[in-house]
Amino acid sequence: MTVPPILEARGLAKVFSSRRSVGDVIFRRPTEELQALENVSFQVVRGESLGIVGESGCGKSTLARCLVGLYPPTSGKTVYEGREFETKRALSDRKKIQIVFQDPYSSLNARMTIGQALREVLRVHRVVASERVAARAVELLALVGLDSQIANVYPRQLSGGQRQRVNIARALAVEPEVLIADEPVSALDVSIQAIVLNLLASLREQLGLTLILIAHDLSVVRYLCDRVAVMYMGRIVEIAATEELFEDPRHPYTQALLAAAPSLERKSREDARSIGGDPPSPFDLPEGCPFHPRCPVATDHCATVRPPLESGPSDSVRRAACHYAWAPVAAHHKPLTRGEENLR
Amino acid sequence: MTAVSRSESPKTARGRRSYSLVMGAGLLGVIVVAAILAPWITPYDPLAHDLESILAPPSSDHLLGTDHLGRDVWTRLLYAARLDLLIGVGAVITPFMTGTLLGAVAGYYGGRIDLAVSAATDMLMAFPYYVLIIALVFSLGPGIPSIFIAMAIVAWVSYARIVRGEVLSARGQQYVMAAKTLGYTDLRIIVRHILPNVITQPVTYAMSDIVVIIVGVVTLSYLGLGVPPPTPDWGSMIASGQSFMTTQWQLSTIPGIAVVIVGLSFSLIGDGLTHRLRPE
Amino acid sequence: MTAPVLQVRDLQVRMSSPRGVVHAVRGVSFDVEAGHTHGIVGESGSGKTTLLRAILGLLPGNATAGGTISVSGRSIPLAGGRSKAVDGVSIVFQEPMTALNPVVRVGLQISEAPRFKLGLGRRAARDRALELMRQVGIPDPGRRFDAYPHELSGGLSQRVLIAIALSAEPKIILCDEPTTALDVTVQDQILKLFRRISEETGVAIVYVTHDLAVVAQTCRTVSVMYAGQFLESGTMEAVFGRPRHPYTLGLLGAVPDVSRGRTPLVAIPGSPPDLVRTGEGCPFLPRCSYALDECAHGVFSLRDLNHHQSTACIRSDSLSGAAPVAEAEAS
Repeated sequence: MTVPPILEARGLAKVFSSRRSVGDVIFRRPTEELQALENVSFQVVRGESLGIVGESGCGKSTLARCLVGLYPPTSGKTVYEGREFETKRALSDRKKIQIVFQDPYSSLNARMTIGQALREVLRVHRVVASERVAARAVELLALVGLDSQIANVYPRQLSGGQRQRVNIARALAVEPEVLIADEPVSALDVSIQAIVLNLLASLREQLGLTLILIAHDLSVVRYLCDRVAVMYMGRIVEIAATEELFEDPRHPYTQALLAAAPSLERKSREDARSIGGDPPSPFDLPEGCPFHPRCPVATDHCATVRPPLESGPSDSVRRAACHYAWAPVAAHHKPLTRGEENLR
Repeated sequence: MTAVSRSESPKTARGRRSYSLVMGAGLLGVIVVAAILAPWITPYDPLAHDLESILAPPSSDHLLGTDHLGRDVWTRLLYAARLDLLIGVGAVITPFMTGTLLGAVAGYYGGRIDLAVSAATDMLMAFPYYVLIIALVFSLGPGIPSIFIAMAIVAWVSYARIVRGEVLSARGQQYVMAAKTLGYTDLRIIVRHILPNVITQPVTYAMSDIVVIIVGVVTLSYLGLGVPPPTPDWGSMIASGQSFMTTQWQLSTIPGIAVVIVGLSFSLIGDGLTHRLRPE
Repeated sequence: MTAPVLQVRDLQVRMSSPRGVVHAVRGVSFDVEAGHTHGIVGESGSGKTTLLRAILGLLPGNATAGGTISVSGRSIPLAGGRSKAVDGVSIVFQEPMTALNPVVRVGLQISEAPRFKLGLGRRAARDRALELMRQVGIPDPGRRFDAYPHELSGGLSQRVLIAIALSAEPKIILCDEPTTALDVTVQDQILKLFRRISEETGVAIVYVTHDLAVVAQTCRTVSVMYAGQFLESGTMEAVFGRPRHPYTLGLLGAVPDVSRGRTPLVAIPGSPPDLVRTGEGCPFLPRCSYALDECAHGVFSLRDLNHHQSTACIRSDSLSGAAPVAEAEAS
């Protein structure tokens, strides 16, 4: 890549351990561990929008929280403009990456008016001189298309779409370079999702923001993103330019995800690429490729060897974590036979 | 798209709750004012013996009669209210503050701090509440300071447990996550963001705790461990009136009724506050 | 054409609330034939959940209802506050985890209706349950029969709920956002399952959701619900292909779609309606870009445009022929 990345995830991994009670310590019960992220690496260029898609429990929200510094990663680094962020980030570093959460109802403090919440951020970070704070709060509301009178009301008096715009305004208050949106519209009514999606698109253009969009909904990602990373069981399984990924998915999981996504336009549902089974338990990941128990093209090789995220022979940008993403199945690898569960 | 939809509060349900808050506060207000104005309301000294008129029945001179030492019961009732209310409220303040603080810190930080606080609360909870208080007061020696110390040692546990649980669930809420990503200090997050959202529970509990403590003090005094005689207190009044139950029933009954009325008023306040403080 | 299994005529539901009378369903009429799937699309507060409860015969105690609902030609009682659902109607809820009793083995939950409603013996009910579990695609039913709900994944729990819904041999299955809580790949499996079930058993399905794409993949006919009434009804192809109501048109232009690239989205201005609202005129008027002065007066109910489609919009002619997205862009 010729342009240096603004943000880079370098081998991020996160393991969660269960909370231990007094009894657990006394009786030496083993701690349950969950590998939420495993060796996640990618780069984002300034001004780019990267989509991260995957089903529930794939680690996409954990990834977002590691990037903004909410969770310290178990290993790996978040690198910002070539500089590694410390685990305990300085205030000036925290400003660089901001996040908007999914639930517009619980992401605002119910005891503070919208104005108080915005002015608090501006004061803590000394973004503007103290006499300018109130005026700046109103400007921020205007930036997201809200009236200044909103400053005087409590979150409960606003609709979901209005709250989500307040969340965006608050994240933008510290003037971040990177904005992470974690499922920003999935809790909103369909008729107003477009307001928030279009707002994110126009802010990106207006402020030169770099956007990382986390979503389970492929259509949202296709609408907003230049590049897409697909996650499964804590790992990136494919990353490519949006159109390439949607037109020519290389990883069987991406193919399955696209085949399963309901669409207004595609009518035929009996698609050969759709898959059966459920995602495995994150406490008990299968050996080899984590997708192999559900994969329609898996071989005995997939059941033992975990495929790395590699780029194709002629293509340095897109990468996929499948033994057969770029090469045909080798003759000595036999297709897996499996039970009734996966054939449904 | 800038219209603000002001959600009208459901009038009937909320109105009834406000009513209970007003009732409770009114009832308590009357008692508090009467207790404060005691020296002007009654001409008698609560400690003055008048052996000429012992065990007098209610009359225009002595509204509620006199006890076995000729002391005016109405006067003693009012002065006892001063003391018992003060102890009730006073003994709650320290446990409320320490419990809320420890619970918030344990819930917010987790880890070793939480383990330590949880271990302490579990241990204290394992003892019967009253037995522990009585044992502590007994070993510290009867008297008001002992009551305060005993309460401070024991009663914070409930607040810590309540607040810890609430903070634990608030910690996962997105408004707390948002505050963290905005780089706010832990102190700011706990004090400005979490506590205002979780304080309802301990405040409501404190209302019922005050009642428990007043009843506790009355019980201790009844057992001779609380407020030492001759200082007027509802518990010692009930205890000393007990021997005259058959002839002068009002000596024990009236302080008992006072305890019930105070308890009722705090319960009403607690009930009203629960609904008033809850964010919609 | 067979006689419709479900017939709803001019259904009205009002519920008293502290904020006033919520007029949740305002004159809804539709039919569903055996083996067909009818979709009802609506946002939050459109009254779609109340409509389902009315069909199930389980309106809350504070509700009063008018109009008629008949199942297989028999009209069902509409009084609020009943505790027993109508025979022949079952429901599948959104949250499979909370809709199952956590302390009863799933097999017993499935065999409950065959045993106590259909009067089968213990052995026969068990066999029936195992058969249902196979029918809804639960692998290894013999082992899963004794599982507790928490031992099952979301997808399997939803299959169990569908088996329970089928267990009383219903004529109609009501679906209240049954796949919203599921992953995309699992949702796909469940949608296919619904299709197979309606083909195999001839059960009629009423599918309620906010997700247009899911309706497009699942349903033969669709109604668009807004503010307690249907604004547009018809076959899938007609309603989504040539929408004749500005709300349908707006919805189609407001949601992104996997098959479309970056076609600009146009949000519908304003917020979803308040069901306490009274007064006449078109309910969509405050958010409509096609509105005329006449739209503020009169009653707006569905009228047939042709055999396939009906709309509540008096300006449907000026919408005809417009490609949904292009038109929405212009507005």
